[in-house]
Amino acid sequence: MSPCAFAIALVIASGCSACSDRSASSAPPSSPPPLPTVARVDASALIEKLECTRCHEIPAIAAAPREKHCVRCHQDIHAGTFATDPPTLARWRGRITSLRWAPSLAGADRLRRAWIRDFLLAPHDLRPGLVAQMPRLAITAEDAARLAAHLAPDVPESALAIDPAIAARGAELFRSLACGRCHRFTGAIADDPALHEQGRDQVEPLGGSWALAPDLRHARARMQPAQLAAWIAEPRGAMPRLGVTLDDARALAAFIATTPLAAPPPRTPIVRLPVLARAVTWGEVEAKVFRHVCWHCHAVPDFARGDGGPGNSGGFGFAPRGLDLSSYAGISAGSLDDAGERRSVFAPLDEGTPRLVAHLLARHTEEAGGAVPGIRGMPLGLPALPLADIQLVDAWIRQGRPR
Amino acid sequence: MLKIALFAVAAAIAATPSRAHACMNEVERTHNDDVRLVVRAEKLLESGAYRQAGKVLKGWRFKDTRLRERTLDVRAIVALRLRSSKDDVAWVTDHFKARTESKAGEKDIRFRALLAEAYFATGKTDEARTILADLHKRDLMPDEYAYVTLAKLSSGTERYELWKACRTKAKNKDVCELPADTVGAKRAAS
Repeated sequence: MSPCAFAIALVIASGCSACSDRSASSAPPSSPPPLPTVARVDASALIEKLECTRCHEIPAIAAAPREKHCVRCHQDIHAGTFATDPPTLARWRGRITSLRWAPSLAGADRLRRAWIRDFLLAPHDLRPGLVAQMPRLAITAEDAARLAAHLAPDVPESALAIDPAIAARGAELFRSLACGRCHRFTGAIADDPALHEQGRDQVEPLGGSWALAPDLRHARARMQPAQLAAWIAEPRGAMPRLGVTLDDARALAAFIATTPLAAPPPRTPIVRLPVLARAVTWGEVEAKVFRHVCWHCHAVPDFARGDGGPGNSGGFGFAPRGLDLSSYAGISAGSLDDAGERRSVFAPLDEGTPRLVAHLLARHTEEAGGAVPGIRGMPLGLPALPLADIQLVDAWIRQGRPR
Repeated sequence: MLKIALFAVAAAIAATPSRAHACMNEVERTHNDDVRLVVRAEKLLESGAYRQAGKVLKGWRFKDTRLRERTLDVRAIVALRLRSSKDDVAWVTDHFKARTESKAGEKDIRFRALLAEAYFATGKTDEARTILADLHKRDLMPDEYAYVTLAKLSSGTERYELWKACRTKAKNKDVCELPADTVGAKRAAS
């Protein structure tokens, strides 16, 4: 947290008349201080290339066509408005847990540009209630900076002043408003996992607000306190209006931005399970892994009229890899490398791990905050597969890939 | 009145979104009877039920070009694996050659392996060996048929290893049977 980041928010919060934002301090609760308007960069071509609108709503950019919109399609299925028979709908509803909601990027203008850029380059789990998270896209640092500059204004960091009394009042408000029912606040004393779990019931009635609520641990990195206070007072998108006064919003922002945070618990090192001694067949590995997860993005194009998913035909900025994990012959036919030549997905990499297994293990590394150079963690933007499932794939490959 | 009704139908068709994009295989397989039929035939092929696979698609001609091509693929594989005459295999060779040269198929090595199998069946052993040796070297052999075909074109330890790989992969081990004169080679190699 930059020292100057607190200045405006906390000086405003403490009501300092010498240097506070007069218009803000005298404004009614429903009119928080306006966000600075600084010219943004137009990255709409990049947004189109990366197909961000297949999940996100972005101001002034047309939504993806319905048949390409992952979130809307899943929402239609859960709402019962997808045109299919009731038994199929019931079956799909039971299975579809991911990509039911995605944050609207209309609210991204409250975020720090630098944070957006860094998050795009190394996304991490921000919203504990969502199954999916921001995928690690194939973008350069320049692309990430350009996207960030499109989404958020360049707001100078503010000067700092801390008023512990305001933060203490914010802590009380945090409890009385039961913010923890939607938000986790990992590392903070105010974090209440049990209360958060109770809030799960609110997912449907609140249209995904619970699922979309970010872990407030990251709030101080994402926003300057002034922006945070403005957001709390007048949220947009999934965040419900709390009906708090601007002073209360400032107190909450001060608390969220200053309360001490414990270091995250150390990650258990990834221990690759030994290769299974029992026989593993294609039927088992297909049912438990490929058909269950991978096949959605790595499918055969013909049945979906030319689109085999981003992992086959390309999409989300990824080049076509031609990987079809829907059949034995498909997986055996490998994927396209950067030069467009077929390569085996079973070929051992430098340390002897089959390429396919390396991608699955890399997702665990990414979840632990790291990245494996040259290997994108799979499944993309979804939780890592259990190590037992990876062991199954590993064993099947090492046993000679029996049918 | 009729014009209005026709217009309404046309408008409804135009407004109906195409269910045809990524992640949509499940949708297609659930809703599209043509896709379901082709998938059923392909599953039968995978299980080695060639005759049944052929029967499922007998007489069908689909509007969708891709489904038509896949139907032809099924018919060609059935003809190749159940070959009853040289003529059958001749058209199969042409079919897979065209598939490997088509835009959609040029990166799909499965067609190359099937072409090699067809070449082998028509006595073009050099062509078959060239294709399969390349796929084997790159660990891109799509199935047990590719292994057994290359085994038939090989000798000594290599032949034995290919035969073994075929048996590891195949559910039906009979597929991997080599001509009688090679049994000695297998034994010698083991």
